[in-house]
Formats: sequence, structure tokens, C-alpha cells
Amino acid sequence: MTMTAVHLGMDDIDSPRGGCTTHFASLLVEELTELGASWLDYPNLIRLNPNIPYRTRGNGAVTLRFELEASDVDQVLPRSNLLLKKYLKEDYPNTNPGMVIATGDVPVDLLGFSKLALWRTVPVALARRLVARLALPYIAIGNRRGLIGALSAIGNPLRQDHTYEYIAYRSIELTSRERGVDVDSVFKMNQKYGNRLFSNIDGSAQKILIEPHGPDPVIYGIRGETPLDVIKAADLIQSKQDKERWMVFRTNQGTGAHLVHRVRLSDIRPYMAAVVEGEVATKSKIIEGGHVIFKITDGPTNAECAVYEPTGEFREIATMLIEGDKVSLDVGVRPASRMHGLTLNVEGLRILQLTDEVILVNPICPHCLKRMKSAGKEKGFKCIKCGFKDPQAKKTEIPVERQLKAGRYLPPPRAQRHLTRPMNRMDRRNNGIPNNLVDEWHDP
Amino acid sequence: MLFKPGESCEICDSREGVLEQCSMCGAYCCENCRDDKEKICLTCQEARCFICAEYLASRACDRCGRLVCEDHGVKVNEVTVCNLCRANET
Repeated sequence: MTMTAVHLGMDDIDSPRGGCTTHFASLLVEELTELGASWLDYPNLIRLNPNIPYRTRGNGAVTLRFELEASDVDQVLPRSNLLLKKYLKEDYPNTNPGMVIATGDVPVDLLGFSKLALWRTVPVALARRLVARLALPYIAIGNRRGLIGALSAIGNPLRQDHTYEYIAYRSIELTSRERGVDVDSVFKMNQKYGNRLFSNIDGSAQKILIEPHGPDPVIYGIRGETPLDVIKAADLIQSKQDKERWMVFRTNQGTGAHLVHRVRLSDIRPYMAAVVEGEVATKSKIIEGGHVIFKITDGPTNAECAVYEPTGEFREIATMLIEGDKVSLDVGVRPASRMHGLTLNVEGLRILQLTDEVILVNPICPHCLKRMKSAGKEKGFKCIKCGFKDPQAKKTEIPVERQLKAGRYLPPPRAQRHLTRPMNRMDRRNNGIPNNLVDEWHDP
Repeated sequence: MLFKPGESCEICDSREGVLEQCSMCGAYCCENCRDDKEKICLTCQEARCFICAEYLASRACDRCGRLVCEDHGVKVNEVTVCNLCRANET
């Protein structure tokens, strides 16, 4: 019996009106297990560039990696296609599913493609060229955009830092009802597991982050460092809706994998996820809607930066920056419109160096030690108590203690991207592909 | 890692042929990844607003799925609707 390694990538099997690529993947795991698949890895949930305008929610694609008897490999795509046709919500025009199969080692070309899709936009034309050149069997519906995610998911074997997410699903027929995740049970879970979990609650807002709000089949998703952590933690969660199925994914969530390129302001492109460095060029202003806007410069080029209202207390940090502060910003690039130029949407901030802040005050009268008043434009200062005049006197600079400190700042967890490396993962790395999977990582 | 544009095609990473800058986004791209007639890269060709084609899209219309820029789509309650769908609905 000859076994073949199979990588089955998929994307865009969802819409804002329902469905979810990860849920579809869990149905496919059941189907392929029946076909005799021997699992090489947990399903990989790969988040891609979060600044893409046509993403549904979190821009996530999935790959299933397994071994199968060589003679059965030809059955994988037809069986997946049958399941896909049953699953699709065809009333939504912006669902463009794609599935791709690669066998053996992951093609080198896909590794580069996948890296690009983490921080740039990739045209469908490139994905189509790639499947043709590598002769990869695929299914693509609609405008074939799903091919991009499917190929990118295959091309990211998560050899470096990764995390896990346990996702519990409800019946697809019950997706219009309230999930009813018990808030107390989530806080208790978080307290019990501490740093072994991340981004499941927002402590400052006392909010839970594990429960989505759309009409998709996900009841909740628990993010953590190991498969056993998330499986055990899920036992503590109570919800009104029953779990119909669950599965553990190995993911690039919480790894900051999209922010590895430092980009000069002159080289910024629309939709990029990038790290830019510069000096604050103008102090921030708050515009309608509560958003904070300021400019940075790296010498030859200036760029407008935006910190949005939902980022809450993170905006306060932006409002305290002053001209001359040296910063490194994690940004997503919003394209220009008729109303504004390219805008850097700030999703993280590192203060590299704070400039000295001073306030200017009128000089003190040398005779009576009271503050003098201006004697008029370019006429110096005069003391209104004793009448002393000093035409040469100038305002005095008084240093002010900065409220900010150099270091890293992030929006609160509720406003972070799936890919954002949260504070409690700053020094943590889980490297390497697991050798063995835990006994029960999905049900059914 | 510092991004150094101009060394290879920003889309397919090819180092062959002449790289030219896209007139919409500024990306350097090879002849396979650009439309010479329109002087734009394939990424911008796919991501521009379907109504004006002048600006890149900010969202997909929730009704028809096509991409629209901020001027030609209205976001209400987290849902973007393009001006064309809005006109057809009213």
C-alpha cells in the first residue's frame, strides 16, 4: 500500500449571510476520515492580509494535510466538490470558493506566494498561472478568487510560530438564533488557563471575544498555545446552543506574521500590511466620529496616519504623541479616495524615542519676581506691578514631564486583528510542525 | 526585512524583462503582471472601483459583490451598498 501526502487548500466558502470555511473544513475532515485519510497535521487555519477589501470577515483560509492511499487520491476533489455544492449559499454573489490539491512536498513556488498573500494583494491571474504551471487539480467557482487563499494556505506549513484555536459549531439550521455563550464561564476559563490562552476576553471592556455575531455556524472559538489547552478550556464554556461538532485548528493567529516588512513611506502601496518608521510631523487631531489623525515623516515623505474610534484607549496614546517623537507603526494601508490620500491605519505602535516637551511661559520680573506681560509684538515684556520693561526678554521654556513612555502599545484585544501578536505572546514562540496529534482533535 | 521595490516584480517576483511602475499603486511589475494598455498592474485592475475605475476599492458591495471605492459605496450598519444597487433599490 503506497501512501501519498495530500495538501487540500480551500478558501471563500462563506459569505456575510452564513457558512464558514472552517466549518466546511470540519465536514470535509469527517468525509475524508471515512475515505481512509491519516492526518499529518491539525487543519491549518491561515489568516491572510487583513487589509484586503474583498475579504468576508477574518480573511482565513484552511488546508487539510493528510496521507491517503495513492489510488484514492483521485477521489478527494470530486468528493469535496459534491460536499461544496451542498454547502454553498448561492444567493450571495461575492462568494468565490476555491479548492486546490497538492501532493507530496509543498511546492516551493507556493511558499513564496503564501508569504506575499500575508501582506500584499495578489491578483487572481497570478493564482491561475500558478495552478496551471504546477498542474495542480482545483475547483474554482465565480471569479476564482478563492484560489488565492487555497494556494496560500497550502503554501504556509506553519513551520515557525503558531497557535491553536478550538472552534465549536452549531447546526447550520440554527444559525439565526442566539448563541448564548455564558460570559461568566468564559472569564472563569480565562482565569484558570491564564497565559496558555490569549485574545479570548477584553479585560478593560469586560467583554468576551470568543463569540462571533454573524449568522455563521461558529458558536465560539478559543485561542491558545497548545491543542490540549484549548480542548480542556472548551470544557468550561457554557452556551445556550448545543455543539453539533468541534475541531482544533493550528493557525498563524496571534503571531504577527503579516507585519514582517519594514517599508519606507515612499514605497507604501495600497492594502499593504507594513511596519513604517518615522517622526511625528504634526500633532494629532480628533475628527468627526472620534478618529485620531496625525502625520509622520521619514525625511523625504510624509504620510497621514489614522487611529480609529473603536480602538478605544489606544487613541489616547496617539493623542499624546507630539512633533519629533520617533515611532515605529504597524499599519494597514487604506487606498486614496477623492476625499483623502493614502492613509496608514495604525494597528500597533512602538515609541522609539520621545522628544522633550516644553511649554513657553512669560519671563519673571527680576525686581518683583512676578511674571511679566507682553509689551507688544517684538517689544519684549513689561512688569505690570513695578513697570520694569525689558525689550530683549523672551519667553522661557519649561520642560514638561511626558505622560508616555518608550515601548510597545497595542489597541485593546477587541480591536486587534486575528493576526496581531498580543501583549501576552510578545516573547512566546511555538516553533515546528507537531510530530503527533492529540487523540481527539475533532468530533465527529 | 526592508522592502526594496524595483529589484523584482512585486507581484510574481520575476526578475526578467523590464519592470514598470503601475500608474495607480506605484508597484513595479513585469509585463506578465501589468496591462500595458491601461498602464496598471493586474492587482489594481482587479481591485479598482467598478463604478469609477479611478480609485481602488475600499469594500465589496454586500448586494452585488462588486468592489467599490469610498465615493461609490455607502456603509450603513457595517454593510456596504454600492450606488448602483442603492439606485435600483429606491
